[in-house]
Amino acid sequence: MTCAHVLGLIDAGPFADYPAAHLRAAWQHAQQCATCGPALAAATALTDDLAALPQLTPPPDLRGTVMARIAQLDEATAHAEAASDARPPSLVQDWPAWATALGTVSASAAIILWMPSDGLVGAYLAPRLGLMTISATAGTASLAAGLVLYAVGLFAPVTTRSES
Amino acid sequence: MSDGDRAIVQAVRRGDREAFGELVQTYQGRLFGLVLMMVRERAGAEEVTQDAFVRAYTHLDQYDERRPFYPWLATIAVRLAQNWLHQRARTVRREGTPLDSAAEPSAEASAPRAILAAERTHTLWRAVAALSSGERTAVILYYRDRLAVQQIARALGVTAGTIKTLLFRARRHLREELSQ
Repeated sequence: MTCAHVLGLIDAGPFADYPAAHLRAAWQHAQQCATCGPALAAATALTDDLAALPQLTPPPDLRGTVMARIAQLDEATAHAEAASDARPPSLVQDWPAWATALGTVSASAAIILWMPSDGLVGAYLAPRLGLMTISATAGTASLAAGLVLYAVGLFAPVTTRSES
Repeated sequence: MSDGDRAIVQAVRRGDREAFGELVQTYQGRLFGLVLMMVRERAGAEEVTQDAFVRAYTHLDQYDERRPFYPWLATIAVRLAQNWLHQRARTVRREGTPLDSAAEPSAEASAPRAILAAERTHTLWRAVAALSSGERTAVILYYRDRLAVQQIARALGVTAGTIKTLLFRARRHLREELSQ
């Protein structure tokens, strides 16, 4: 162990990170060295002083304030959970169910109305029920709209209901 | 983590809110000292310390009981103190106060004067308070709070090498300051 090693060790980093044997060798060198001895002693004293820095006195009511804030948080959470459990799902929250129902009705209506005019519905049921057959384009559009609404009803509830 | 801390954490997890008060009681001095040295303003330190305890309570499910409690708590406090300092810097910039003056130790930072009797300790506190924010935090966490370099690195979100560099610079500055 040379002066360069010991002085490097003093400057390099926290003493705790060095192997004990390494530190012992440095101490042995420093005890016999007029240069390294005071430097190592000063560094060790600084480390000890920093470790012994007293704790600052916290505000006297810190514990009470923290516990009060925690109690408020717990109460707010409990209230929110209770309110969430007690409230029946509103129409807005349950809109995917409405979309599903409307989609099903629209699609059914479109299918019935789009039946060929010489088919069972077009030729026999529609006139008797007062229904009018519509053009193929209008029927396709109605069917598409119905299917879109139906799809919304199928896939949207996964996120909307879990959020509510 | 000490057995006492583990038992308290388990009690809190079982729903015993009041048990958390014992953790606050145990660590409030260390944590407040750390935060005060970071933010250097007593009111700010109180606010950040409170927030750190509250956040520790609300995020207790994320705490690993196999590890010591204080480093986890200190990590939360360090992050909050850093946020507090950033917000304060933004406010100061917006209001036109020079950042340099805001970064100087305020009168509040000399609060230890009333508490610390020994002149040497007081001198050391002042020297530590005059370090840069990163150096100060690293010194307090390493030397006083006895956290490992890796734990400090995790708390500050930097590498262990950066912490060693901060400690190296801090020691050099402290030696210079104390030799005057």
